Amino acid sequence: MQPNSSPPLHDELTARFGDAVLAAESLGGREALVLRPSALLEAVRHLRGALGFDVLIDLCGADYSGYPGHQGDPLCVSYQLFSTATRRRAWLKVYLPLEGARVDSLCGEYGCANWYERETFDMYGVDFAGHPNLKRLLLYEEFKGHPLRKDYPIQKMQPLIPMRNAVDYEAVARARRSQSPDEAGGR
Amino acid sequence: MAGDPLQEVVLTTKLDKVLGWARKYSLFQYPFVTACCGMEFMSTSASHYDTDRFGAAFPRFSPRQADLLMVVGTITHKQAPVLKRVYDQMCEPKWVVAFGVCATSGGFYQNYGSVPGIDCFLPVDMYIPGCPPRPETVIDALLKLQERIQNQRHAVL
Amino acid sequence: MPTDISAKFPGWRNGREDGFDIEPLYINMGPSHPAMHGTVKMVLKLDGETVVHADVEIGYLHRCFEKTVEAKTWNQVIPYTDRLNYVSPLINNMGYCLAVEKLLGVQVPERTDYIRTVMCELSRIGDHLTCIGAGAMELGALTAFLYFMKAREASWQLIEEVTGARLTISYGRVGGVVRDLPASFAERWAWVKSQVEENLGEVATLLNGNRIFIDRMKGVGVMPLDRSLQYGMTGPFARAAGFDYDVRRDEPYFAYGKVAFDVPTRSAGDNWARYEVRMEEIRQSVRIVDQALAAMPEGPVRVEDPRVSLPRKKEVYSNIEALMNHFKLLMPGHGIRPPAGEVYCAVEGGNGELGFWLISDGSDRPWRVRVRPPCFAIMSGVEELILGEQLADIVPVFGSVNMIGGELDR
Repeated sequence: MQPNSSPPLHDELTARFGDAVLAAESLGGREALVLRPSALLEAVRHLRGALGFDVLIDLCGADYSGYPGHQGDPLCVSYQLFSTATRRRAWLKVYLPLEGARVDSLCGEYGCANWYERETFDMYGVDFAGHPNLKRLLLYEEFKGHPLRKDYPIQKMQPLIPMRNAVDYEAVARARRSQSPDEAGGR
Repeated sequence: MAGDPLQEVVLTTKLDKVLGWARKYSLFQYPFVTACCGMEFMSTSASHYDTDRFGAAFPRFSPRQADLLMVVGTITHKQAPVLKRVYDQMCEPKWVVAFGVCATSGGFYQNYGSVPGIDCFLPVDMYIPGCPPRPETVIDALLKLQERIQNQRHAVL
Repeated sequence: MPTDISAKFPGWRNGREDGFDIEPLYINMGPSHPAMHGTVKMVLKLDGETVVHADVEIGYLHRCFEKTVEAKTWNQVIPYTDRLNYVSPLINNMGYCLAVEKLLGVQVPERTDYIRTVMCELSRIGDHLTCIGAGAMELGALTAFLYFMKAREASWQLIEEVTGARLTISYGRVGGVVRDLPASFAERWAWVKSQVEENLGEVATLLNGNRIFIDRMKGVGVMPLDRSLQYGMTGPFARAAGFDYDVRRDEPYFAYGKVAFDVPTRSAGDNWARYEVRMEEIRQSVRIVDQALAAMPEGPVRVEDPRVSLPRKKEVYSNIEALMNHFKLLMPGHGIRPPAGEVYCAVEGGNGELGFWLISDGSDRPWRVRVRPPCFAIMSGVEELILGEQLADIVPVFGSVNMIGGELDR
């Protein structure tokens, strides 16, 4: 993949929105712009309207709690945009705190943002202000917790109907971990 | 007695055996297909491997009309109530086949989403291991199931 | 975005007609339904036979890929990627391996690039055969399905000769592929190609002029280009609406930059256009495999980098450095350790842009693996797509979406 000519994009957004762009991370040959969460909607509107980024390729979350060298808020929402006219890509990120993670919804701009945001809410607990129907997408409503956060144990099941003879993998993993501290049991 | 005309047209056997023979060669499957095993299920039903020659070709996508529930693929906790409901709606006699390791034991999915084997909430007659099982394995399982149906007690009343 | 029928059909009448009280009918389609490919539930609000509102619910196959792989090593993730888009598993494998190699900064040997191209295209052929075959079967054309299964069997036998398995192949590794193509590959490919082309021709004869098939596919499930882009659709679905973008051609990877192929597009955006695009893509994939096989150079199939690839067994058993290298690549806590960083890498999956966002913290396990599933974007537009369609039309429309549960729900 060719790296997109991002320096103009960074300059463009900084020139127009000033302090909205907090940083620019150089990641894998491309540049990701870190925006202030409150400035996200304006920036995306500008990108979509004036700069022609008309396709939302991806919208997802990541949890940087415990990531070596990470400072600041741990929950990240990442946006991948694409322009059909210029064939350029843009990568935006916002960082949110674990408690009260809230950012504006892009449902008014892109149709697929509806489902992407529901999935991010489901997995990470990010609240999208202005979303018409923010409920779980991949998991069921009775599920408590947000599994892709680092503090959710992967094997903690919440069955809907009673399971008999089911192996409690979480207990097994915990017992094994307490026996040998260097056993790889995930994080 | 040799030459007895009745012997040539009458077959004497037990009711269980006849019912077993009829039921084993006319299995109507309900393929509860969820995941990758479904691809191998399609291959097994297609012309190369062909379950039609064993009488088990026609899927009936209504639990009221099916007697073999083939659970093909991973069952998640979200899907489990649906599967239980489908099973409950089927009439006796019915058999359940766990197709693939995900249905048998959860496979290599040990997480908050997947049920570790459908025998956590359903009685299973045949477990087919494999991820996905080869069509030959599926046919082997089908034959074993047919043998089981043949030898099983079939209550009429 | 419009989920209301009056936006799509401005003259729609609602409610009372001739003094009769009309109530809509709510029908639940799925999640265990033959045409729902097993894992999607649609709650439909019907006015007679016409869908007035649809509520699509997914997640019935959520197997927690993204959480599971955070506890596995970089190579152990590969069997999990097989089960994403399980009709074209090789594309997922190779896409993931490409992303990790970008993180590591290694370049695989040229032969590997060609092998990966060949295997990806073989997988794509299987994907499109399954999609069209299943779609035709749901409309009653069982023969087309059986013919395509015959062709798919041929390609799967070839894949089995190369990788050892028919479906869940785990053929890619970070830094290359597991083993080289067998010596008989070229002649076996000639047989597979003849099977694919013969069955393609037969099914085209059966379906292309078939009045019933045409009536059920043309003009049904129209998704115009601007709406497709709103939903972020890529791949054959969007190309049938006119979005001329293919990651293989526009951001080439593997050996796609060195082979010549066309990217078919149509402009109607209906089921028929998608059917034509997929049939044409099969032909183009065959073309790519032919060219790649002809141009394939000799050489190793894994990069000779001690940080990434296991040393040869002969070396491991005879000298201590190779043995230590072997240990370092397999022991927990060691192994492949890409430097801390992130990468977003996209390949062209069977349904569109398959993206991998990998975050590495410098250890031997990924911090985050995000899969951007192509059919997720397409499915997010299905509620709008089936608005105004009749109940029976949902079946071919959903068939042409090619929803793969493993990829949608991960």
